[in-house]
Amino acid sequence: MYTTAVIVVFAVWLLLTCLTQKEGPVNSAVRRWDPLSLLPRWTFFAPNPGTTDHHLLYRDRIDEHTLTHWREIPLSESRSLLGAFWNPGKRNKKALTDAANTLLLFTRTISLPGLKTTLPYIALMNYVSAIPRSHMSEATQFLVLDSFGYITETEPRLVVRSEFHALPARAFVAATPWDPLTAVAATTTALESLP
Amino acid sequence: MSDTTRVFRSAELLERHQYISELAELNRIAENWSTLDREAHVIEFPIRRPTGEPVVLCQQAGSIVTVIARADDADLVALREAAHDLDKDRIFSAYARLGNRVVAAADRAMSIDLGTVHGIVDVVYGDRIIIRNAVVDAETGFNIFQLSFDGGDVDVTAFRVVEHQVRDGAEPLTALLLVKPRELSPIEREAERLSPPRATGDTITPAPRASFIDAVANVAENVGHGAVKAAEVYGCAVRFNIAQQQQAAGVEAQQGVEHVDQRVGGEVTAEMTAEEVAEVGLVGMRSVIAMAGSGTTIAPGASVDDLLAYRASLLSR
Repeated sequence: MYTTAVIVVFAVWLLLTCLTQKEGPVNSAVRRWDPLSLLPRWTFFAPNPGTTDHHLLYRDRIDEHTLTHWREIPLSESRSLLGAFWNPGKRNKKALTDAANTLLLFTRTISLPGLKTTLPYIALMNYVSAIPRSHMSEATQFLVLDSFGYITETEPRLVVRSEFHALPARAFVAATPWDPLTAVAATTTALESLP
Repeated sequence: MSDTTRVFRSAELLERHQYISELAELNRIAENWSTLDREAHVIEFPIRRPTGEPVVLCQQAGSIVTVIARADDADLVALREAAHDLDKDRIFSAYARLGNRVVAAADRAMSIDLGTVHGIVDVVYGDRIIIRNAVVDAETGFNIFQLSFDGGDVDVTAFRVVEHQVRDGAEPLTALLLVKPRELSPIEREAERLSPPRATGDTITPAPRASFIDAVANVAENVGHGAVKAAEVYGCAVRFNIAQQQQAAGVEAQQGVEHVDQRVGGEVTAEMTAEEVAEVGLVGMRSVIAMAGSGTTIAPGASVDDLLAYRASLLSR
C-alpha cells in the first residue's frame, strides 16, 4: 500500500515537472499551486542563460594625445585545489563581476550621463583608479567588452566605454630604484599588485 | 638637520633645465623593442657580486627603465648606442656593466651626504614629476629607476630632466629611457581594435534586450498608471522597507537612483507577478527621470570623489 502511494506521488511529481518545462497556460495553472517551488525547471534560476563572457579593461591617458594600451583586469582566475579551502581573492573577483553585470543591465535603461552616478560605474572606476601606476598618467578610462566563447565566429563587442576620469593621488607610486637587490622584489611586487 | 635634508633644501636654489635629445629615438625603440625578446616575459641580466653570488637584474614587460648618468658616462653611451642599433647582445652587455656597478656601490654600503652626492635630478613628463630627487652619487655615477608603463606612443618632447645641485664644470646629467612594451592578450588586442586611441569618448552599446524586457514593456503598458503606482508602493514596502517615505513623498526622483542600486540585477522571472515586473521596470524609468531632471551635468574628467559628491547631491534633493 505504502509502496504504491510513494510510486504515485513521485510519478505525479515527475509528470507535473514535465508539464511545467514550457511556458503556457498549463505551466501557469500548475505553478499557482506550487508555493514551495517544488517543481524544478530546466532553466534552473536563469531564465536567460548567459551566453557571453564579460571582460573589464582599462587604459590611462598620459597627455592630451597619448594613451596607453588597454590592460585587462581578469574577472576569473584559474582554479586550484587549495582554492576550495582558501580563496580570499574570490570576493574581489565576485564584486567586480557583479558590478560589471549590473552596469550592463543598466545600459538598457539608463543614458550615459545617468550611468555615471550609478554605484557599479563608480565602483568600477574607483577600483580602476586605485591600481598603482606611475606619475605619467593623468586620467583613466575603463571598458567592458563581451566575448562569445573560444569557438565562435562572433567577434567581441564593446558594451560600455567610460569617459576619462582624473586619477586620485593615491593611485600613484614613486619610481623604484632599480638595483639588483630590489629589482626582482620590485618586479614581483608589481606583478602581485596587478589586479 | 641631516646632511641629506640640507642637500635637498639647497637643491631648490640651484636648478637648470635640460632637454633629453636621446629621447627622439624613444618611440622607435619602443616599437622595436618587443622584437628583441618577444618570448620572454622579462629580460634578465645575469651579473655577479664581488662575492661571487649571482644576481639577476630584470626589466619587466610593460615598464620603462630610466638610466640617469653624466652625458659622457661610458656605459650610458654604450647602452644608448646599442639601443639605437637594436642590438640585443650589446644592450644586455651594457645593462650587465651597469648592474655590476650598482652591486659594487651597494656593497660599499655608502651613505648619502654632501660629499658623495654627485647630482640630483627630477625627471619630468609634461607638468608631472615622474622621478623626484633622484640622487646620483659620486661613487656609482648613475642611478636607475623602473616605471610601470602599459604601452602606447609616448610624447618624447614632453620629457625633461631638471638637474639640481649643479657642480661647476661637470658634464650635465642626462637620462636614457628604455621602454619594454608588454605583449597584449587576444582580448586586449580586440579592445585596441574596437576602441583605438583616437576613440577616447565615452560610449554605450546597450546590452541585447532579453525577452523579459519586452515583457516589462507590455506589462507597463497594460497595467496603466494606477497599477504602476500600486506596484511602486508594493515594491518599496516589501523590498526596501521605506513605505512611509514613499507614501509621503510620492515618486521621488532621487529614490529612483537609490532603487537602481539596491535592486542589483533587476532580474525578472516568469514567476513574478505583474506588479513585480512593473516595479522592476519602474526602477530604470525613475532613474532616467532622476538624471534627466537633475538639471546639472557632471564635469568632464571628474574624479571618483567628484562622482560620489554629485551622486550624494542627487540623493539629497
